[in-house]
Parts: sequence; structure tokens; C-alpha cells
Amino acid sequence: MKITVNKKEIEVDGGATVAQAMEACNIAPEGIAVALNNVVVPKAKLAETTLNEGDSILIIKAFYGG
Amino acid sequence: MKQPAIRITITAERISDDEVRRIERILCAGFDWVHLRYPDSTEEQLRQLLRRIPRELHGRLRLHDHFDLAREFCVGGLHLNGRNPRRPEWWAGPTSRSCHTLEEVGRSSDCDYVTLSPIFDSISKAGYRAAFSDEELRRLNEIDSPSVIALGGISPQTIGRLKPYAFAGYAVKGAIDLFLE
Repeated sequence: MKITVNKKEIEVDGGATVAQAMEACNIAPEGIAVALNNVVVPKAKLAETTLNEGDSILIIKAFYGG
Repeated sequence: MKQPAIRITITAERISDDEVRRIERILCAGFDWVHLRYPDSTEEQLRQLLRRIPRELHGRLRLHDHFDLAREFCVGGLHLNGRNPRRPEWWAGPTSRSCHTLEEVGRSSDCDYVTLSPIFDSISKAGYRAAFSDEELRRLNEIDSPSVIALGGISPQTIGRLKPYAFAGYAVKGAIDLFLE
């Protein structure tokens, strides 16, 4: 299914999690906040939050300029 | 205005029921900083709000009040203002300041940025009119440090009018919903 990560469209398997999508994009979970459809997902929930077609993941740096 | 511009939101004065969600939306919309400015809030009210904001976002927040909370939460900075004009002795982190004259800007080299206001007639403060002439704003080109952020009357319609001046970015308060649409 198609989702977007930082507005870039990618293809992931059905039932994929946020953590798996980040891994596919080589994004490490350190020093960032992750928002799914504009709602921040706690780090502890990244591996259990499943994605749906058309979802939008946004990576926000935890510190400005970092 | 320098590119890329620093984009800041200053919160409305009261903590709303959906404040956490609102702060998340602002940061998801690409703003760099959210300034928590709740002049009438108690320290405990601000503490409870900070506890509800995801920890990963604390580094994007600046406090206008209750600076002692920066000992408990890893916030991104403190913002000095008329109510709280002094940097706590124990604070060594990023600090910004509210300025209302170019002279105040010139005395603020200890800050990473300052807000300068009011640049345009305010949207959120009745009777708060633009305070600087074109000639005065062009003097910003002579100031190397700190970065100066335009505040007051900033909206999608007025941003273009900042281009001739050496602002490092802009701060939005009353018109934030226009940026989130």
C-alpha cells in the first residue's frame, strides 16, 4: 500500500508498522518525534502502530537546527 | 528576509482543552518553535501541560513564564520578556528576548534570537499598531547578532512585506489558524 514519509510517497506491505516504514527509509528513531497524520506517536508505540493506505508520516527533529 | 526563515508560533494566552493537539499541529505544519506564553497560568498548570506534551517535542518549546520548569523538563529555551526579564543564573541554554526598539535588539547579543514588535498592526492585540518606519527596519541590515524575528500583524498576507528587511524569520500569534489551514 502507499503511504507518505515527509511527503515522499513510498510503498509498504499491508499491516506494516510506523517503525517498519521508518526502517525502510533508513530513519533512526533517535532525536526525532514521529507524527502519524499530524498526531505524535510515542516512541514506545512506533513498533505497534499499524499503517493504513494513504497515511502520512512526518519526522520532526527534536531540537531546532539539530 | 533571510532564507530559510525561522518560523515561530506564540500560543494564545489561555491553555485550551486541546492545547497539546494544537501544539502538535503547529510543529507538524513546519514551525520551528512554539513559545508557551500563558501570562495568567500557574506553574502547576504549565507543568501539567508540559507533562501532556510528548517529550520528543519539548526541545521545540520555549517558556515565557515559570522558568524553574526548565529544571524539570528538557525545553528548548527560555524567552525573556517584561514579566520575566532576567535569565536565571543556573540557565545556560538557548535564550531569546522580546524587544520593542532597535536599541534593545542591539543590547541582546547574549540571545540566539529576539522578537521585534510590533512590525505591522497587530491582529491579536487591539490598538497595537506598527511601531517602525521603513527607514528604521532597514537598519536591521546593520545588526549582525542576534537574529531578529518579526512579530506583530504577521499573516500569510503580510509576510511578503518583510522581504526588504533583514529579519531571520517571523513569529505568528493571532493568525496562526490561517497558517494551519
